[in-house]
Amino acid sequence: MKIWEFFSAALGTLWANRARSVLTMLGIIIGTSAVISIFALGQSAAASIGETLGAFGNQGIFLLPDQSTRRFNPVRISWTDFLQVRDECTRCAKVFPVYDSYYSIREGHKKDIYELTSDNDYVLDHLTMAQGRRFDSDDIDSAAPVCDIYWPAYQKLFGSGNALGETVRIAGRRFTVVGVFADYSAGVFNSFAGAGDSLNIPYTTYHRLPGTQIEGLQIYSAPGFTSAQTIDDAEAVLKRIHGPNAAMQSFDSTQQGDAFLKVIDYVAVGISSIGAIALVVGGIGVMNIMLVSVMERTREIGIRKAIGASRTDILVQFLTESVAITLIGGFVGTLFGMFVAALGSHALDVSFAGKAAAINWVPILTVALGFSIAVGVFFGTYPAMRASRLEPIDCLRHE
Amino acid sequence: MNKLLEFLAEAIDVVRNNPMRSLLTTLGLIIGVGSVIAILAVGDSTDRSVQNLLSPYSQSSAFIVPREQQPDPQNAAIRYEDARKVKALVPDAVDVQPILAIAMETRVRHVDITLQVFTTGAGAGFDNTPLAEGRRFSDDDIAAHHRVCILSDQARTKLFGEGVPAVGRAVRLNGSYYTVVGVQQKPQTSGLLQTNSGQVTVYVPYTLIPELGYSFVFGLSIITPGPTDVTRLGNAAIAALQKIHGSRAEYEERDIKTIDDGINKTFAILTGVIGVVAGISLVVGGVGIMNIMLVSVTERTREIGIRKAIGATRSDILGQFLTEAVLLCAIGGTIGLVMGVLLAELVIHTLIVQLTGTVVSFSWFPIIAVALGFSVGVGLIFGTYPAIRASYLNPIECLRYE
Repeated sequence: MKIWEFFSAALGTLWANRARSVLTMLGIIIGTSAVISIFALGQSAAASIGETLGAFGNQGIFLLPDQSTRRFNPVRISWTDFLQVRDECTRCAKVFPVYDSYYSIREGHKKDIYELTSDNDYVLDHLTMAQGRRFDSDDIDSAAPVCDIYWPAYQKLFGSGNALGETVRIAGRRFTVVGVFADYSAGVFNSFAGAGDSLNIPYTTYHRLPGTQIEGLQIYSAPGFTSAQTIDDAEAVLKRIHGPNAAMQSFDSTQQGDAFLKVIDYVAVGISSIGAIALVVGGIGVMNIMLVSVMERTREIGIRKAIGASRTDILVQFLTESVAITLIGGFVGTLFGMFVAALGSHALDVSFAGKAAAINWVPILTVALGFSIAVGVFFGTYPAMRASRLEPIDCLRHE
Repeated sequence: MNKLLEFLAEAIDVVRNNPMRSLLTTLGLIIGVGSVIAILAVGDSTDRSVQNLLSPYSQSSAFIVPREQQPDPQNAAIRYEDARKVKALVPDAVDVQPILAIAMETRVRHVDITLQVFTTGAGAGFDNTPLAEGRRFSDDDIAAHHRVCILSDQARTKLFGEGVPAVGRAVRLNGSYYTVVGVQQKPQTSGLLQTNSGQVTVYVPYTLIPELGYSFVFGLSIITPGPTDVTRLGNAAIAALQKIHGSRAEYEERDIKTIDDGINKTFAILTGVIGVVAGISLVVGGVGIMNIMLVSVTERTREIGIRKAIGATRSDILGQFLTEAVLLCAIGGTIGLVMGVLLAELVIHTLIVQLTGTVVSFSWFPIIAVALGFSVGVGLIFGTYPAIRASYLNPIECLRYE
């Protein structure tokens, strides 16, 4: 195998000039590890944020009255509006009213203010329960006086004791605790997660509390419709009820998460490409050293040519040498970059998103190795061409 | 000094004799210095232009508004007379003004126009956009409940026509006529980051809030002696409001200084991180220089031997090779500097200007000083090892070297 012969010859040459080879590789090593570690860190950050957002699952679309145009009285969504949207919006798979307000809640002799939100039995999130269960369709249908508690509220109300089956008083009514959500540590996204001092009750039960007001509608699109189409349909129903001036605003929770991840991706790719400048500079160093090497070995080239080496032989010989430099450099750089990324992602994620996410190494490694071969070929071609075009007679005369 | 010139002349000769090698060696540095300069400059310029957009707004005032989500929003709502009470409880504050921000309609030539009505106090308040004509409110205007107003440029255009003098004319709000005493200048264009300044805004004295028919206000503006007091007095005002409304009422403080500091910090971190990443290429370029200098030492072993044999000292050889390395770096640094400045100007004038509308001048001096200092530093750091190696060579072995 001729290529292998070239390769081992190249390794021999590199070994003979150890100091020089190491310095030349150093550029490639630094460049590759910079690109790899930054790219991997970005990926890891995006992955762990995605996981955090994913725990809250598909929250669907929120449609609520637009509060910013104070000129018109903002629309108030009533229970019958909700029923009408649920029945008439053909593009909506599921429609739920969202309630969210503050209540003074009593447990035993303790009394404090907590946020009370509504929930339903259509569960798309991945939140886990520390104790008990979520609401089921019976709870919803019968408007059962039950509640689920988020971890911070649980700690305030019950310390670390048992909560299941206990009674809390909300607006003078008794509610039985059926579940406690597990603590979800989401780093800086904790507030985003809404895992504050709050309790959930079924939306049908919420509706029966005195003086409640629907904040907005939570809507899941029927299959085959985009969020925008569904929003249009639901808005049309509300405008039939409240008139064409009814200003609504909508939030597509899935889209917001996607947009956020996209930004992180862009930043990671942007900074990686600036890191790639170092790789280019390293490549220039390879070219420079290869030119020196060609010059130093002019006599050798002359002798080889004189005893029958073809142009291609010389070309491949020097090209193999430069590719060997960048390949080894790329390999070491990749290892180093992985190390830095693993360290960094651990430190970063724990503070940033609550837990470290696994990095998908396969595409990163493929790109890194492909890139280092490409750098070797790109910057090695000119010196190798120069070597292959040398006249044997001139070479032999060279001193 | 003479020796230094000699070193320099020799180094220039060496660089000229190996043009290809010198070019490739400096290229790494050119790219490194160029990208660091371009990134620092673009970061600095963007930061300054974004801050410039906030410059009409005073950093010495804190806004206190009720928190949006809270247990009892009705109870927490701020009343007009709260301003007076808070002023009494926060004596350090220069002034405490109630703020109303509402949309009102007025009729001009049989067309309804929606105006954003804001209230303000005497003199330069929160919005310090310079006036094109007229004056700001006087203490007398405020104290005597004069029905006067200041228009934004956009409001003048909508109400009276573009550039038409408006001082002395009247605007009808809520059934009463308000005399125009001042008109703001046209706001600076702000590209994609459009701010409020383009709105159809009318400022009226805050003492007229009851006459406009409002007893509840949007929030309080705490005017402080300086930007550093904003957070402290803002918190004092929140404490005062909680004394009035009970500790369950929740408020939040907003101010331009915090926003400004936040922007500054974000840009500093972002520019720093990207600058450091770009700086990696500078290090790689330095390694390239070291490598080539080592090659150069090997190639000139005989020359070194001869020099030493005829009396050159160790420091002569050291100086010779160090000068060569620093010369390469200085050439690369200078070319990189020019390229970096050109690149930065290009990016600022094509991309950043679209984002922020204006190009704010910034000082090149520290950026250039950093870049040049860096490139000479790289030359010294990476040139020292090869030069030391050359200076320690044994003359006898050198002469034997083939």
